Amino acid sequence: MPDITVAGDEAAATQLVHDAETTLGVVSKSGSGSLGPFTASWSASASFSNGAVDLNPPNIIRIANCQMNYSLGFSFSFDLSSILPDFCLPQICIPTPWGDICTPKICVDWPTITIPVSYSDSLTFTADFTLNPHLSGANWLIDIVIVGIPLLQISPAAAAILTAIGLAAAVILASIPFIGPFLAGAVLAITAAIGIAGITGLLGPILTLFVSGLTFTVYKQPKLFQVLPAAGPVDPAVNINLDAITASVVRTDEDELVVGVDIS
Amino acid sequence: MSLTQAETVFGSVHELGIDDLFKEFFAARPRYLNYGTPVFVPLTTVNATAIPAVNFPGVPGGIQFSLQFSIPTTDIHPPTVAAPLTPGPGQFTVQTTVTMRMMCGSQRQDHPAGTAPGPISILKANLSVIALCHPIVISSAPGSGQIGIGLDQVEVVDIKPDDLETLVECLLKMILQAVLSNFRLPFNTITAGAFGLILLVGPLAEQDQIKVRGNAL
Repeated sequence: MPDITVAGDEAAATQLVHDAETTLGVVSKSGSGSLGPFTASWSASASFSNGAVDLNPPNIIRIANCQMNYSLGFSFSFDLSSILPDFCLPQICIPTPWGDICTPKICVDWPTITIPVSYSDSLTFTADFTLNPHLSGANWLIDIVIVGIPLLQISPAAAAILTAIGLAAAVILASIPFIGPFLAGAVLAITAAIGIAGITGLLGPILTLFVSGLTFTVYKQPKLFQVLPAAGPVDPAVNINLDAITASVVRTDEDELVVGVDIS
Repeated sequence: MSLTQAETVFGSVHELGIDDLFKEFFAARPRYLNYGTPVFVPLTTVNATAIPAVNFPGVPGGIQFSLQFSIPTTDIHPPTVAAPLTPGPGQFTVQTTVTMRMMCGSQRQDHPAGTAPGPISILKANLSVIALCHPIVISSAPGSGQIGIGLDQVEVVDIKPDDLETLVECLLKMILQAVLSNFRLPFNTITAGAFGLILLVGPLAEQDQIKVRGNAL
């Protein structure tokens, strides 16, 4: 039997997980990926909250309906000439008594535009986590580490992002001379080129990065554990060593997260 | 039966863990095991606690003595070993050895002219002491509460006559209660820092452990 035994039921374990979600805070990542036929550079951040814990022996903590809150910013470049024909306004000359007055020939060469898009949303997922008690430097940690990749429901977000791309493209395009007659067609061409599949092709891998290997630290204490603080010059602090820590899920008439600690 | 039962959080310290905590507590603060009058302990330090000599008319400087306790060990119900006192339900025993020293003779040199001062010697005696105790709540403050030791009875064996044994036991009960009252077991230690405990049940002394139950802070 360990020197110290600590147990928490599913309610207490849920509280531990929520504290761990808060401690993890906001995680940021960046990179580039395919957005349909385009290449988009992106930066994203995510945090986690909520979820209910279901304990399963011998060492599984299932978090149901964990909420991932994420913000995504990406941009991609688009050569308008690839969808709009370049054209020239011909030279026009007007004869006058003093000779012809001619306008210059004006050719429109459509530019390459960069479209930035920002999007924030949240989704929920359910995943199993395994317990991993270990010594890290001077601290004992009990991590719960996600098993596999949970199913992420991103279809609603993909539709919303495609709409956001269309709106962002319209704003950028509106500032381009002579685009007026082509504006609606250009927006349609851009969103059609990307499509829902293009959005999910970008969003899926990005969000997967945040949940792949997702780890919450539900316990962190120094190996040299303070029992009592110093209480004066003749009463120094009292410390013990946490020599070993185990963590498991035990099922009796209820499921409990049980932590065993050996001290010296 | 689950560990948490009707509550959400459970914490326990096994009697061997209590022994480890005793070792670390008294190793860090040995003054709570060592007491002496000025001849033995002139000044309170981390190692020993100074106490006044016992004044007695005609004894110059008073009666000088010291008490030194060994680091206690515990046996929580049910009893692990046979002993003069065994812990019943909800109880545990604390065993220690007290070494008593007394200065025999007077320090002062103002003895009558023409006579030599009497010899001064330090007499020493060891007594094995076992105390029957129960856990008590010192503070129930959520997260930062503390558990302490309440002392019920002390047994010192092999002192004759019986009246003297009773007297010594009474004396040692008062002293040992004072010694053990310095020991604290914070909630945070019982839960190894995993939970802030709101104490609802306990402390209980059973199954060789001190147990508490409650909710997470």
